[in-house]
Amino acid sequence: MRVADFTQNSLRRRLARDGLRLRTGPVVANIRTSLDMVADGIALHYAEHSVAKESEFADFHVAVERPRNLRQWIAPQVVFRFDGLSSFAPLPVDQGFPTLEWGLNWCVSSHCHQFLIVHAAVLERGGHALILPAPSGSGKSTLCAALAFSGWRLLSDELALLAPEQGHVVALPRPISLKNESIDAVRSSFPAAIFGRTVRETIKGSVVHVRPPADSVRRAAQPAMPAWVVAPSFLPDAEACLEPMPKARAMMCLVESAFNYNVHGRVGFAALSRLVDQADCYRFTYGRLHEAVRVFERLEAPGIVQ
Amino acid sequence: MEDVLSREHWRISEPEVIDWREWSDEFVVHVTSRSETHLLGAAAGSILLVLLDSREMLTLDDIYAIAVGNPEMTGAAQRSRIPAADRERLQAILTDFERLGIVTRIAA
Repeated sequence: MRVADFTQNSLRRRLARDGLRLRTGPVVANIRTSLDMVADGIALHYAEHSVAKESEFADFHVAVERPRNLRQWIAPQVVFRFDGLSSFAPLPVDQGFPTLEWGLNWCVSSHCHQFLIVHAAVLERGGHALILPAPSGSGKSTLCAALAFSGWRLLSDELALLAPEQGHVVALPRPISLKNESIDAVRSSFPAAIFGRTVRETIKGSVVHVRPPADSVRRAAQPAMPAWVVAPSFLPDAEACLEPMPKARAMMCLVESAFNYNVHGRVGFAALSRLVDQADCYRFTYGRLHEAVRVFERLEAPGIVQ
Repeated sequence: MEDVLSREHWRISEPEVIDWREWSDEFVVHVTSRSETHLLGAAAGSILLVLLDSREMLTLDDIYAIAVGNPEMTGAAQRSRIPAADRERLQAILTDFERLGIVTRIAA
């Protein structure tokens, strides 16, 4: 069963009562919320995702709720709960859906240690994975959205899940998070993209989520072997420039972008070393999306060392 | 001072916890016991390899001699052949390694 198979009312009821066991790639999250805004965000962004049976194991039990405090009468808030506990400060109620997304990112990056998790977008073409490691604000998600609507399969906008022994990247297709100027840039360039509601004045500025392409969600069980590591950097109006990055620098970039590299110790070092060995590594500066997409169309797969 | 430095010995602190990789004259070294990873240039990387390959404690002069491919170049008479800039650089690398927990200094 898919999220899209629920009516609006039945989805809201499920979320408000027992919760919805949402399957995103290798992760099942049981989500509870009585906030219609969050339920509608799930309906829009996760329409193609499958729903696990209530009897199935859920990796996480999360909720987005209104905290019981005096502010609920003045300036309503929402809080993200994991196993009934809240580790984060409440946020204004209109940030309900982003709160869910940020909370789910935290759940995966803090708990899924069967993977080596890198802060990176991942896309795939011809069975080869393109890894875009970058800090926030570097244009990673903007480029990721542009490629996801230009023939590349989306594996993840935010978290690269690397299987440390096998070396492949496991897909976690979830909504793409765009901020500020990148919202209009993607909206005007890719009319097929489905946008949620823009939420203003968040800690990151204006934020909007884009529904992951349906094909990427349907193919979520297909991993991909890393072929390219590209560190992107957005510079307004800059000409697209793809230049080789020394492998040792690429290795350090991945190490510094990883959430749980230290958890994996030597295995983590070996896994990232193998990834760097088999991938072509680049730095990429861009200022215009269509130009950037053309550069990636010409990217040739390296000889993959299995 | 220089004489003291020449009599100090150096060895890898825990060779069994050092992993390293070299790509195009740059090295990435992982110190498992500290969960730290460092990027090394060609000079520091080659010094690391000298120390990892050696089963004995080495003086600064020994390290230099092996690194430049002339392990027979030992003894006080030969030390004067080490250019001052190289000696200073090697000392700086070893001090950095010590700070990072890669090597241990054994006083003269």
